[in-house]
Amino acid sequence: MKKKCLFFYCITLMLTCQVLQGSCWAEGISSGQKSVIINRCDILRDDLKKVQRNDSRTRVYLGGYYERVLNKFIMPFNVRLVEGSLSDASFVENQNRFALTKTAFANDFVYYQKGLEELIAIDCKAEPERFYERLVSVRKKRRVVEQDVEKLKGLLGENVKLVKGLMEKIEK
Amino acid sequence: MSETKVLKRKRTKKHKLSNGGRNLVILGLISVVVALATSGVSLAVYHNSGDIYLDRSRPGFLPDEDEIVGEEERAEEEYDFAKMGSLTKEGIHEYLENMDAMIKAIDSYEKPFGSEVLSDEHLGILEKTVPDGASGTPVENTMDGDEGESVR
Repeated sequence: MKKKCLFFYCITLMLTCQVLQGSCWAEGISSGQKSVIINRCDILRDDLKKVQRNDSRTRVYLGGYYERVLNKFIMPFNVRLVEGSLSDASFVENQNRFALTKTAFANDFVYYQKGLEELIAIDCKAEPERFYERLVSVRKKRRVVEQDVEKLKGLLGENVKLVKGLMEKIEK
Repeated sequence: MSETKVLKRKRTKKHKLSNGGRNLVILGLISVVVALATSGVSLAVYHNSGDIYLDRSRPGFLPDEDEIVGEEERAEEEYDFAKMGSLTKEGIHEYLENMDAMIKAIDSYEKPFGSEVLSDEHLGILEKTVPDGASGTPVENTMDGDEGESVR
């Protein structure tokens, strides 16, 4: 029994080490990159501020569009479906998923922006390693926001398909 | 006797006046502290709720002129699918037409939040661009403020 436990612990330890080492290799910073970050610190920060500004603009516009699509298209359409006794579970599911993903998009964006703000605040001349480490984490957060946008796009496409299917039904 | 009374009255008057002045200063200080505290709390809420990231009226985030014109045009074009009435073929067709316009507007943002904007290459922090011992002048920074996203 003791041997089994010891074996299990060893395997777990080895796997943990491998994962940690892998992530270090993947996200580590070389001496060359370190010097580039130090030399380009001010430019990098300006670039990141531009990214922040553009992202804010994109978020405001996309958020407005999603809000309009949900409140002025999908929801009234589903209300009319219910009134006309044409309601289908797939329409309601589509609406719920769209609303949930829209909320996730808003929350993930705030999470990403907070990360970006912290990244800009780091003195990259003094702490290039920490700066790069944080940059990697901000990239991951940005990817989550991008995935939310892709999901919302997919749900919109799904809605159009459902409506087209309904139109075919009515035509028949 | 009367002189001492007058003196006493003068003293009490002075004393009262100085008390009033002190109270006024205390009141002023308290109001400043309360104002600072409430402003601090509201700023903390503004920041923590994430509203700050959507506020485009703060310095450096103001919309460009072309955006303002675009917004005015958009306001005129706003469409609202009616909640009442039966669903007809024409109604669905109208819905699809307007939805298509919305999807096109959303798609006009090419790769929103694309990962390449924060890549090493795009930020110019690639190792290979730095010659040994040189003071790093990496790849030309292509960030021009639009970051490849087209905005109407």
